[in-house]
Amino acid sequence: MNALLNQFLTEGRDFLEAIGAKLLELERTTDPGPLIDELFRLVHTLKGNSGLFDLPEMTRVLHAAEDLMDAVRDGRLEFSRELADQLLEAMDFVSLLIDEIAEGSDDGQPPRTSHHATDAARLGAALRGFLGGELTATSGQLPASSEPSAAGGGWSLAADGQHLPEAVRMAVQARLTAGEALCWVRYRPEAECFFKGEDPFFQIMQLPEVLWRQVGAVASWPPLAELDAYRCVLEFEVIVCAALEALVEHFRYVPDQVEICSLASASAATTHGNTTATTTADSTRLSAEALESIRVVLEAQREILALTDTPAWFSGRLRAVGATLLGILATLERDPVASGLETALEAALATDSGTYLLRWLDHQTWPTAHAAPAVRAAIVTPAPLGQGAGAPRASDESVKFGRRADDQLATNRTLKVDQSKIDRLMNLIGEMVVAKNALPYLAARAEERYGVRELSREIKAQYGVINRIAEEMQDAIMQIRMLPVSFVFQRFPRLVRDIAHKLGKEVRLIMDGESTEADKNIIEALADPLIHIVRNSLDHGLETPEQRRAAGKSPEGRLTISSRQESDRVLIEISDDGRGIDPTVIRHKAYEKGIIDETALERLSDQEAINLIFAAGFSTAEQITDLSGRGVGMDVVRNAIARVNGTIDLRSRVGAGTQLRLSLPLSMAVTNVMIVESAGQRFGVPMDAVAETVRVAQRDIRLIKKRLTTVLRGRLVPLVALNDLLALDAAQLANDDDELAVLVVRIEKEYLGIIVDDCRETIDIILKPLAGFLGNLAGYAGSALLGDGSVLLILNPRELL
Amino acid sequence: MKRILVIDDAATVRLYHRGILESAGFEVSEAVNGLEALERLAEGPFDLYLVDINMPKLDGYGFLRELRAKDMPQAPAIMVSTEAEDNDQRRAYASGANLYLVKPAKPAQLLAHVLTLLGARHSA
Repeated sequence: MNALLNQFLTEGRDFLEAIGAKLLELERTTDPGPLIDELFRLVHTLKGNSGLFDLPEMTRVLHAAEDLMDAVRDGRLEFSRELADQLLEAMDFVSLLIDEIAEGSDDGQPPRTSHHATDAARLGAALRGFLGGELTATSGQLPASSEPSAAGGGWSLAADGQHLPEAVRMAVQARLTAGEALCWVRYRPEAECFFKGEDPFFQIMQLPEVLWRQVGAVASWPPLAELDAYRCVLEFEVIVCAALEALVEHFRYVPDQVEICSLASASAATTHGNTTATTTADSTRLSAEALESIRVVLEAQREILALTDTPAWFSGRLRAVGATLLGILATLERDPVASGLETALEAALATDSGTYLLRWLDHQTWPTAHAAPAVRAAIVTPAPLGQGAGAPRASDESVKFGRRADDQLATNRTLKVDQSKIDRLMNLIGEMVVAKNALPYLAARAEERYGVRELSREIKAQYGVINRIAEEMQDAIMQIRMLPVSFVFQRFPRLVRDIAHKLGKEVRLIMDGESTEADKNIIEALADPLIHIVRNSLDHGLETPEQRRAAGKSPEGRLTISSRQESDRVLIEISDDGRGIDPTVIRHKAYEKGIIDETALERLSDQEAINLIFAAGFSTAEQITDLSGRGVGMDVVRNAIARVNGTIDLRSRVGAGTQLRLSLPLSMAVTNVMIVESAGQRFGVPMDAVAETVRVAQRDIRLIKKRLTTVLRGRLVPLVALNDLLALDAAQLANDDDELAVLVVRIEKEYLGIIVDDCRETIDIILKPLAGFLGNLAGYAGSALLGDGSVLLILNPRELL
Repeated sequence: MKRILVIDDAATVRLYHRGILESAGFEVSEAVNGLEALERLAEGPFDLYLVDINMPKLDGYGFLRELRAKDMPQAPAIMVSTEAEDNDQRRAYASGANLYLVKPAKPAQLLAHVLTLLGARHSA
């Protein structure tokens, strides 16, 4: 992708985020002034950026938003919630366009987004709706009207006397004053053009920045029955903001069918594309563009000198004008001393007045910008606009965004890196860790197989070095992958606001600890569960203002999301001061749904009852709303958290509120596993789940209700054989003392013993999820490559049992 | 080599201008707002300034006024803005700009002006 477009997309996203944040802030603040200024600036800059590309849909919406913010800034319009809603919607639209452009751009050009034209028009109109009867400028977005204006006179095209609509005429005038190059183009495609593979309509649509467009018939329309659909009978007329050269280039395949006329100057030089190369009389060696530029710059200096104010830095202004005039003289290869510029400047500085310079300006003879032959010369042999002979030619098409190493960049010290690059680094270091683990095997082989103990020792020493570097490298890469939780938190202000509006609730969101960091995978895994929890709180937890008032609370509910780091875990707490969860209601619901039986109904403590909302298929909502959704209950949330080795804890007091606490590991890239053997195969079990490993004598294992159990440290522990769990057709092997190896795992505060053949060492591995056909195989957390090149399957005890 | 300072808070615009100017062989420095631009002046004056209007901290008008009040060789300044209103142009001139262009300036057009202001030869 083109570097400029890439930059635009990245920066655009930042802007959109900032705009969203500012809009929300605006609803709370008591001093909106600076925020509104800032908002205007953001929208304005974003619009300016979009103008660098051919993105009419985006520019249109942003332009309307800018006008709106301008009106708010000037006090012509009151900022309101409706206005904020509309602006947010518009920014969502822009965000969508940015995403589409990011996805669809592969040739360096932004893809067309014209299929969004209707939306853009609708949003633009909605935004402008706030401006009411105010007349708004729509430069660059003029409707392609073909109605000739009744108001005659003034500016008209010399080419054929065609009158333009008043609005277009004014826009053209404004652009000309601003020194832009405008051209009028008439394109009359050949009747047979379709057979030559030409696409006249496309040609016209491809033109950048069209101010005005008209399609007409070359001759009067024949009766429909006689109309030959394979002949082109149309002609196009446009006024386009582009240099003559660019247009000649644009129509290079149909030069004989186009007329281009530059409107850059009053005495518009008409040219026909089919003019053969005419060698210019060398009356002037400057290109039309240079002459035009000199004229514009001179005009500007005249205006500056005619200003009547006299600021304290007036001499600075005079000297700057002097420097500018010097530049012009140098361009024209005139001698500044001989022309008297320096004398005039000194006199002006001495008298503190621009008069002398103005007078000097008037006494010079300046080249006229609109010598037609010069224009023609510019078309036929575009003069290189470079410095010196070797400078590359710069035109609209050939701009390169190269950089030289000696250029200083005014950027901050943060680097934005594509996610995939970090992932690649992570994968590479994973492979490196595995490859490095092969060295101890090699050392062992050198000693045992070949009997070279010396070499074996050296390999081991070298392994130590590589090991240290690899570990540091891994740590460094892990640091890069750390993301602040604000990555997930940042969308909450908007989410909470929107949902609260929809539900008619008043909610105050308090966020804390957004800068707490955790691994990217953890943060990403957190996004959906957190959103679900927040929705639940808003939907079921917090009451409506009336209910709250009746309960003696303030009408505005509080939702707090905070995060902090505690040793190697990240804790995230979501609490509200809503109605809380009633354990009695939960008990009965759970009983009705058959989740618990009658004895449990009596026996469960309040906390245990509350925890039932994590049970599969439990939903407390009396009616399913479109917010919390159907079926996706807290069990899904708990499972999502458990997948990244997190835990979730819920406390609630009726009438006082609910508090959810998530505890997550900082990182999950490296997993410590214990290797166990069963039926001649090796498996890994994550160490987080392993409570202890013990040897249990066969005779201490009893059958209780057909289930194997044993007593460990005075506690009854159920046992299962791994071979049974994995459907391996073999009995577990006991050692010589008739003892079985038991791996005690802890799942949700419950202990369970897994009988294996043998427990081996623990190792660090890079866990890779099972992919493809094995992807949905329950019971396995993934696989890992071992140092000797074999693959280890990692069990997931939680799913297995 | 002529040195040009591009002052704009939008990185996209800075990159755009840098591309155009570098292709013509100029040395380009960047500043993200008027305040930073003023700091850059400590390195000595530039040969040309390309100034955005709307910027945080110190806007283009403010920067130009400060620049023009400095006791150092003055160089031409082009003010680049998305506004196309006469009012802004007058304000730009009154603040010390030497030329007012509407963004996005076409590469060829911008370059022509830059060459004129710097007294560089337009054609070989």
